[in-house]
Amino acid sequence: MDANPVQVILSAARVVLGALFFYAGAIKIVDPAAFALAVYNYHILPAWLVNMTAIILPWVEVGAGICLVLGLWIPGGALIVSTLLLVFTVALGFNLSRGLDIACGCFSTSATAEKITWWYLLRDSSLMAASFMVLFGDQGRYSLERALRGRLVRKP
Amino acid sequence: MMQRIRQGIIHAFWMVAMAALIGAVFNMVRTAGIPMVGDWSPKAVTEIHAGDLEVIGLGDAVELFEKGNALFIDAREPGDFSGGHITGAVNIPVEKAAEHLDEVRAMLKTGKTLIAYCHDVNCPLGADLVKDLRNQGIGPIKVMPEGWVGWMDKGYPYE
Repeated sequence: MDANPVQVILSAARVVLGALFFYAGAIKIVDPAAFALAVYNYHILPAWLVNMTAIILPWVEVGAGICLVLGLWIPGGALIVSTLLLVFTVALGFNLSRGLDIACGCFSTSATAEKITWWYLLRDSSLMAASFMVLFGDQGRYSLERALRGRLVRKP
Repeated sequence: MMQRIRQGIIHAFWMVAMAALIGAVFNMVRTAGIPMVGDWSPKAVTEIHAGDLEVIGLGDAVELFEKGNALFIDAREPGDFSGGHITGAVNIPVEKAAEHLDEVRAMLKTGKTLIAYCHDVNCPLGADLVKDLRNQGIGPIKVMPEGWVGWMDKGYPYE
């Protein structure tokens, strides 16, 4: 297992992305009503889907985050994170372009803090690029999955 | 590569299914849980935004306006305000509230009814502004949830 710098960077990107998603999901779980309002304010989902999204999405973020940090089911976690970032970027861009003055609801559920700006679009796009690189390139260095497999192989 | 994507899709499916299950169960047992399908009617949204604030409907607001007993505060951004607002309204965006405290105090001294508004029922800025001012001991100010759009739809005076 020689130190391939690309793989080291991809592993680091994977862990950072995972930690970000874990954090983002966790704070949304704390206050579901506030997050539901943030989702509603985007005015993209039909009203009947708003609460369901607010209940389930944070757990998807947390789950994918854990997978990426630990290095378990990396393609699955990376696929979820990439897809979510794509959806977030499109939703953000759509509302920026129609001039909606709303809260991001990204790393906070507060309705007054964190108003969406074009900077958030740049942030989401950068994260999305990193996420796609992990999805296609991460070979699972420094991952729990590899550690477990190594142990199984070494057993007589 | 295709193998990796296929594997990713299968894993992602299970992860989402698990998250949905955990999220739904956790939401059911926790005290802060919310209904699976929420009420997002204009009335419910107003309730969320305004909470315990005093709300005034379009009809009552225009009545006060016509008698010269209403002072409107437009909580939207200056760009929106300059594009059209209720006749005589002053513009106080939420983040600029601190700069307008004396102005609002002077408005309250006139004895007229102060009414804050935003774009429409979905915009919380009018209520946010009133809460902000209330926290600084300034009030009472009413909120008109229907906002600029509701006022315009009724054909009431604007400038």
